Amino acid sequence: MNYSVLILMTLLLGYLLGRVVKVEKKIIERSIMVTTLLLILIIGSKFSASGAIAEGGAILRDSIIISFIASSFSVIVAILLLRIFGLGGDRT
Amino acid sequence: MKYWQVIAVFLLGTCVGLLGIDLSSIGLKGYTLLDFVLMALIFLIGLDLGRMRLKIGHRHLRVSVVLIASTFIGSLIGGLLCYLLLKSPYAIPVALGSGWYSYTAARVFKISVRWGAIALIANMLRELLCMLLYPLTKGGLREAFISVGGATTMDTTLPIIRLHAGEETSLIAFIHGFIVTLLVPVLVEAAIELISP
Repeated sequence: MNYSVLILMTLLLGYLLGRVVKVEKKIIERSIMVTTLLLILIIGSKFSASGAIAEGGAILRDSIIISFIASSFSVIVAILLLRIFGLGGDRT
Repeated sequence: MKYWQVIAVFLLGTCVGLLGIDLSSIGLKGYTLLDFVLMALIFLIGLDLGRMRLKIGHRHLRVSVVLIASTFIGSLIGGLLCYLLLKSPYAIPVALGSGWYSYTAARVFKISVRWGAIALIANMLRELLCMLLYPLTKGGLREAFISVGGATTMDTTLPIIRLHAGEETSLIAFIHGFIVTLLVPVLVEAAIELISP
């Protein structure tokens, strides 16, 4: 099954169940926190096991440059466009 | 969730990886541990959204569309700048990968092994940037910062966004990540087509 479809179906299943079954907010937040930390642990291991750190030198340098510049411009453009369309603000 | 917890757990994961253990590759019947954890998270977020009885409103859609445009415009500008800095046109499709490292790396590997490796690390770093820096954002920047996560805001970085910005923003993040995921293959392919001799 296509990955995007699988994710959408899982979200939809959770959404529908959430509408029917009453679950404590604290329980859900705790569960999300624990699984998020597990996810970060897995991604950390995947990152270093991929050889990214051992690679060193030029490949890592170029990767850092691209990710940092692309991310920075994405945020700058987002801030500008949200302001232009009147969608920005201090909503939290 | 505290910021130090994110950093500490990430560093612990990095140490595990340096020992040669890739936790994401541990699997059962074709599914990896990463798949199981991801699906559990997405399910929990769906449960949370269902519990809140949130409805997709005009504002969610408008902000999502603006953020999708920002992700690609910003990545394109960044890619063009990196093209000039690194003197290689491959920087453009790599930047347009918008955090989807598995697809972008596999696609760029076909034309250049070195740039395939860069595509993998650069897009992985983008995901890490979002994960590690998102807890530091405040106010209006919380929505704009979704652009950094790119395609990952529908899965791996979604829980961080949910925990720090709430249900409303997590809904925007999911729509953003989903549409970006659909568009990345088209845009990366178009960029490769344009730069190919």
